[in-house]
Amino acid sequence: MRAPIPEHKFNRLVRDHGCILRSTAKEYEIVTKDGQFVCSIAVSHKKGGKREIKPIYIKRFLQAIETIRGLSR
Amino acid sequence: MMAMLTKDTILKTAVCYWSEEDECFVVESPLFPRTAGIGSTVQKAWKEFRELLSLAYEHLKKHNVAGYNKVGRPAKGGIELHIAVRPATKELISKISHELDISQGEVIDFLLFFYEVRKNGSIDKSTVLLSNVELQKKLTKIDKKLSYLNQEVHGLSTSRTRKTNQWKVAER
Repeated sequence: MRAPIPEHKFNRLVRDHGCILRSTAKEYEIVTKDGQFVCSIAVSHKKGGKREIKPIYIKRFLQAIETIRGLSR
Repeated sequence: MMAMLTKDTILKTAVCYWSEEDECFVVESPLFPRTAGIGSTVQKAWKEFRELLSLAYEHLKKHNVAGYNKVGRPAKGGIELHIAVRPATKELISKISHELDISQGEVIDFLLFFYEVRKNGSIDKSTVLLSNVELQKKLTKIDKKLSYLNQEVHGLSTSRTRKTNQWKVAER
């Protein structure tokens, strides 16, 4: 099983794709710079308060980006 | 103009399955793949899916989903497919399309998604399929009838017991 990644690394990944990570209490929503919705993900909490993102959500985000780019062509 | 994708339709087409790759339960709908719930148990996965969907649906209602340019039904990037199927299959596709308020193309997307998930993992019984919904309705009706009958029988046996006791008292 692939390992989850820390929140800050995921944030960097999201920014690299030109998106913004917005957090609510337990969930995150990823939006474009124009504020359009890309996808929503949940955050896992490890001991010590570390927040991390599971691989399935990383995959989903990347698929959503690919879909958006495909549809906008 | 086609009707907007409703939260109810997304929930009705959501499938819960065990993912070997991610070692967790996953709940997702092929009609709106921007959201998925995951969890170590079925209940947690469904709960997370509902929460994330609620968040996403606010954007869907306002037509604020990236890549969905059309007002109303989101653009799918779909391609045309001309196929010949059995008359019973066509009828069933129409029925599901009407029941779930989705296009016939989306019915095929949904069924194929379901098939792929079943092929790769195990679908949890919490996934409500169309036939299960109908069966559940029938079972609910039968349950109601049974409980009504039980009440009647209970009523009869109670009155018989009272009568029997009355006789016993009389005999004394």
